Amino acid sequence: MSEISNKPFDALGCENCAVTIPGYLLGEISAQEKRCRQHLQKCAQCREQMWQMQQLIDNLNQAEVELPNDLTANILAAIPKRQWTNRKFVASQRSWLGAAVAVLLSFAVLWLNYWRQPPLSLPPGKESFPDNKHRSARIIAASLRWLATNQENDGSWSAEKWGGEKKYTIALTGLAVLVLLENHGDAGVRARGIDYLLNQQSPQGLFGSSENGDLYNHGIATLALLKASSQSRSRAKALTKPITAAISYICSQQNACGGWQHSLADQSEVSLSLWQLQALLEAASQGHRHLDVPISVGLAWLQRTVLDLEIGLGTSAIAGSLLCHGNRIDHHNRREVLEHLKNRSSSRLPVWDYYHCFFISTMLRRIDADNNHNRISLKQQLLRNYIARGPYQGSWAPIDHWSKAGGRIYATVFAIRTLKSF
Amino acid sequence: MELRPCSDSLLMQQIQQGNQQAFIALVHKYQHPLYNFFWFMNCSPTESEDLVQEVFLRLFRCCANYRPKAKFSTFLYTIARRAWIDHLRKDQRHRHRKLEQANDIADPNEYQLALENKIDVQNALGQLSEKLRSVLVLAIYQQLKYQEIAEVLAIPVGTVKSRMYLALRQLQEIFSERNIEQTV
Repeated sequence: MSEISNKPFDALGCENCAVTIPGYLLGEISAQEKRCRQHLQKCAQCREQMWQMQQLIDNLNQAEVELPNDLTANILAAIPKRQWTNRKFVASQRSWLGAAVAVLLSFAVLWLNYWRQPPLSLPPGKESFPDNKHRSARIIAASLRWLATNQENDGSWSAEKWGGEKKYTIALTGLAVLVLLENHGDAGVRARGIDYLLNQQSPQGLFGSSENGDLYNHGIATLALLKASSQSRSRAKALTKPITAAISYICSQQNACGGWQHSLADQSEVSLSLWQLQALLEAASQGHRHLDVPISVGLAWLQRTVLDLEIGLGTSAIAGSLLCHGNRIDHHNRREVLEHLKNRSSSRLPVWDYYHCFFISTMLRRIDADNNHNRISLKQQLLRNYIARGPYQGSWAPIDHWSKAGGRIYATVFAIRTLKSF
Repeated sequence: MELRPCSDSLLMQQIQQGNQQAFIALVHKYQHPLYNFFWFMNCSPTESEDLVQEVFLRLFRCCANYRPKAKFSTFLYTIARRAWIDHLRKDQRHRHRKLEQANDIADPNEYQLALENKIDVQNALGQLSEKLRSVLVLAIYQQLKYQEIAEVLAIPVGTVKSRMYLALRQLQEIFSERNIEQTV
């Protein structure tokens, strides 16, 4: 500790806490870290410092470097095979009997190895460590726990508290409910989230305000309620009226061209429209009537806007559009679009993007279930952002472009959905 | 508690008995963390690769001495740190290799943004003293606990804690100065 004794600190009484913050963030659990936690609850200045350090640690984690392709082979080649057979690994034997047993065992091991073991080099395509589904399941469970723990008293998930924009609280609550429903999360938490969403609906059927959060809030909340309705018969009756009103509102906001737009925008926007279309498609699959026209017009618009363009295609927009089209897609350049998707996903993402990763991994699973290579690569990139220790354990680092709007809740929800898709 | 099909200690025991597959399993598990360790200790990609090979070679040679008293990762990073120190003694030209590193990475157009970020972080880490950098790299990229870092570096846990804090504070300053420079 002598190395820091001469450094000035931000505030009197915060000195010990400041030094302990990194350990607290990294999951050290000594008595001092526990005292630090208590101090952080009271001291806004130290909390601010903690946020900054967490942000720095998240960014440092992002900088992890890729492994050279041939490193495994080079490591194994550095140890000639004969060294395995010539080598005495076990410490010297103390008795003649022990030595004799060791020699016999060595022969047995060598004999078994000779017949049973493949050569040191690995076959192409098997370089990566075997996928561990148990680990993914544990991470998903921990992430769901983190979401449940951080639900607000009113049933929402605060955007602002976790680094997002306040106007997206309804959308983030809808996403959290959605992911809890998809993964059979805590029923009480889900119910409180659904109640919060219902409380935000206006008499016109809109979730939130038309000027605040736009249709993102509405489309995502509607989709979450539809999923809730499909999973619980007891709840379905109570949800019928609000869902019907919400769907009517979506239809009323559809532009003549088939897309949806932000309140202040002058043209339809793909990402926003994808959520409205997903809600309509889900509603239609649950037997809601009179949706054929808005769906077909919406899909036609998506096809014209996204799939027909060959230059500057946004990969997540394409993947999302294809997901909405499902099996209906019958497009002249379907093959090229799918190839384009595969190629775009085969390389490492230059900049991390949870949104992109979710759509692309879900789409890859559908179009190319046998080829796991691209999905394993995406999964490896995804897992680097998981916070495995410290006070944010279970959440995902909000480090991509969209995290500025959705914060840690958005990052965690999309990471869970993506991990589930692998 | 993480379920593991085979613990590191068990793998080491199997290696001691001449099981090559156990060695391959350890290589798969630790080659990437080790590569990151050397990269962020300011080695070039080629040096990092050579040093990872060197660590596994040393591990192979001394595996008979391994006793599962300490955690395997502590044992491994002690080897890694020694390999790194030996490398520094051999080659004092290890600093400021930005250009060389940039040229070593294939396909710069594809990964330009990510690469810039990595080189940026590596250069920022390069401005820390080696004492601070070792602690930070072991804690962040190798995810070692303070106690394990103390064992690898043979220093008290309290020193690990204070070095970690100082490393992060200095990095914050380095990055904020850069942001100011970019803004100006």
